[in-house]
Amino acid sequence: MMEQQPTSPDVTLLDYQYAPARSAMGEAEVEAFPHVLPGWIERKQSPVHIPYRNRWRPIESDSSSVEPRFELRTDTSVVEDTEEISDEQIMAAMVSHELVVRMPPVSQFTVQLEIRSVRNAVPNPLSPEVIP
Amino acid sequence: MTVEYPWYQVLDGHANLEQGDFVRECPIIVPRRELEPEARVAAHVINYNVVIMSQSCDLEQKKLDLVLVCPIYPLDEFGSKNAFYQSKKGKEALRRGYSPAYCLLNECDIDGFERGLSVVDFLNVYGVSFDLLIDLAKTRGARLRLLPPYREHLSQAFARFFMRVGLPVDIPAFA
Repeated sequence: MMEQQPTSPDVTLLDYQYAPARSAMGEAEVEAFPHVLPGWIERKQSPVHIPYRNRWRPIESDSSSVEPRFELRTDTSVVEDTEEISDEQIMAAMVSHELVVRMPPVSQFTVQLEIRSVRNAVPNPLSPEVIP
Repeated sequence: MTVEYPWYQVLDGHANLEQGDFVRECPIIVPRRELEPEARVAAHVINYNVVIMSQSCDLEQKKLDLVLVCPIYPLDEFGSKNAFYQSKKGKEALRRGYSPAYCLLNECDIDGFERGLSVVDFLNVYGVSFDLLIDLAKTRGARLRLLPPYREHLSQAFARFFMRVGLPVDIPAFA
């Protein structure tokens, strides 16, 4: 069975684990039509591959095709990968929690100000930009 | 083919200020009472790590005197103040944009500017003197900048926070 491996430009992680793509012939067809094939065709018990087990997965992948797809994830976070959390679960949790967080500053201290003047602001209107 | 879209870059302190620039320990002066001419009053100076929210074109053309900035906090510290945002559901809510008052930013691994996931706080917006920010940028040297399209993503989230509307009588959901 021909193993297809992603080339180096396709993978950005050196320790990236992936399952080899299946060839056009062989396992895919055997498993798709097991009942029509002669019994003398042996099917290898291939070890169970758990593709893309790397916890940090910047790449969305699909190894089910003969041409594996590798695309950058659109998520904006590299938070540790978790089970899929549904929107309903999140919404339910948000109802029962205070969602506003009052954070302390980096630092603070007191100064004495000498007020030199107090005045009202003067508007500085800008000319509208010309739209061609 | 993999294309890189880095979140951040480091700039020299003399580079022009833009939306998405991070300023460490930006001082916000808070007077204790009303100010009168020729008075001496006590005031608090509160330092926040902030990100510039004013539009880059306005900054470049110097159309403003006050620059809008929002505080930014490490996610871990943010979560330590609120159990929900310490949980996976809370972090996921931030990541999916379900908490309109906050925006989650990615980690940074640039040497000298390393930091973990961060949360921008839209609830507390400050106007800081443009001249002060320029001076801070020059004297403090290199600074971090949020790059496109993540910068526009932050800007859009900021706009979404201020344009949200709570309908008193909403249309019933379809069954």
